[in-house]
Amino acid sequence: MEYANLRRQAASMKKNLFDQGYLDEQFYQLEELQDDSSPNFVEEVVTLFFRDSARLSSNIELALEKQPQDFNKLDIYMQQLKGSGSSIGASRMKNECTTFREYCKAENIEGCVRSFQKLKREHTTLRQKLESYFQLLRQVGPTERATRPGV
Amino acid sequence: MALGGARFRYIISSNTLGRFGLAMGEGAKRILLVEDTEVNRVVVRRLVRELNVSLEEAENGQAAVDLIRGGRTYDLILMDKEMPVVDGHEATRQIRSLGVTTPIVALSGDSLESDRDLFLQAGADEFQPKPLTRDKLINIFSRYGLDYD
Repeated sequence: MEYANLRRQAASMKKNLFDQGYLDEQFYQLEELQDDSSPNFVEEVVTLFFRDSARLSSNIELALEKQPQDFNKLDIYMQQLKGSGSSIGASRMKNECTTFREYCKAENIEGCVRSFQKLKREHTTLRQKLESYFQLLRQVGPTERATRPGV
Repeated sequence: MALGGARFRYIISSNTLGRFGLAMGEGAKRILLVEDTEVNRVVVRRLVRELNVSLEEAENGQAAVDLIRGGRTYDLILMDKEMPVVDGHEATRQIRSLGVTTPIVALSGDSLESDRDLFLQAGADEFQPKPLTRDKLINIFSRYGLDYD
């Protein structure tokens, strides 16, 4: 009974992440790569992403404070962040990275700063939600497999 | 390995168990993945695990060019666009200038016409938006005659 509840909670949590636009199809692609020989693949990749993205975020923060701003460098950092975010299906983050890069192209520093603040919030929220999701999955155990809504 | 203050790294995937191409059996096709972002390399590594290919990795364009200059040969090169030291466009151009005709599939998170055109002008054979999925990878392998099963 408890196990069934945990499974339902995990499924509901995942559905919310998709319904609220935090994750996209790519997350399912990662889940499909998870199997008995790589039972924690998704969590490992996501953990790696948050480690890398924290580093990139620090670089971006420093680059934004520099005078004059190097918009080309900012764009490169943000493209890296967007690229790795895309690999885990971090949809909202990916979209905000695109917005930031548009401000970079326009050399609009205020826009970049606003966008970056929003990106940091999205990053924190996604990390918290995924940490809770994986914590729940660990309780459910290794039988939870990739499932798309309605399947 | 350091050169003039810059650092280059290339990685032989665990698929090969330290021996080039032998872990996957005779005739396993050799793929070079040129990608600076570790997350993306990890995903591609996992994607190719069940496929009968041997994967080598370079963290930037310069490392890829060095591998090829050093005599390494591949059946397919997957080339990211934005990388430190030497980017994908320049690495593609340099690889082609060495006379290497290995198919190069350019990868980018942007689907801009300008990116695509620059890569094709540099000598890439095709352009694929990231992220790569298993289906996309299998289609790429099929297009370039790589037996993967």
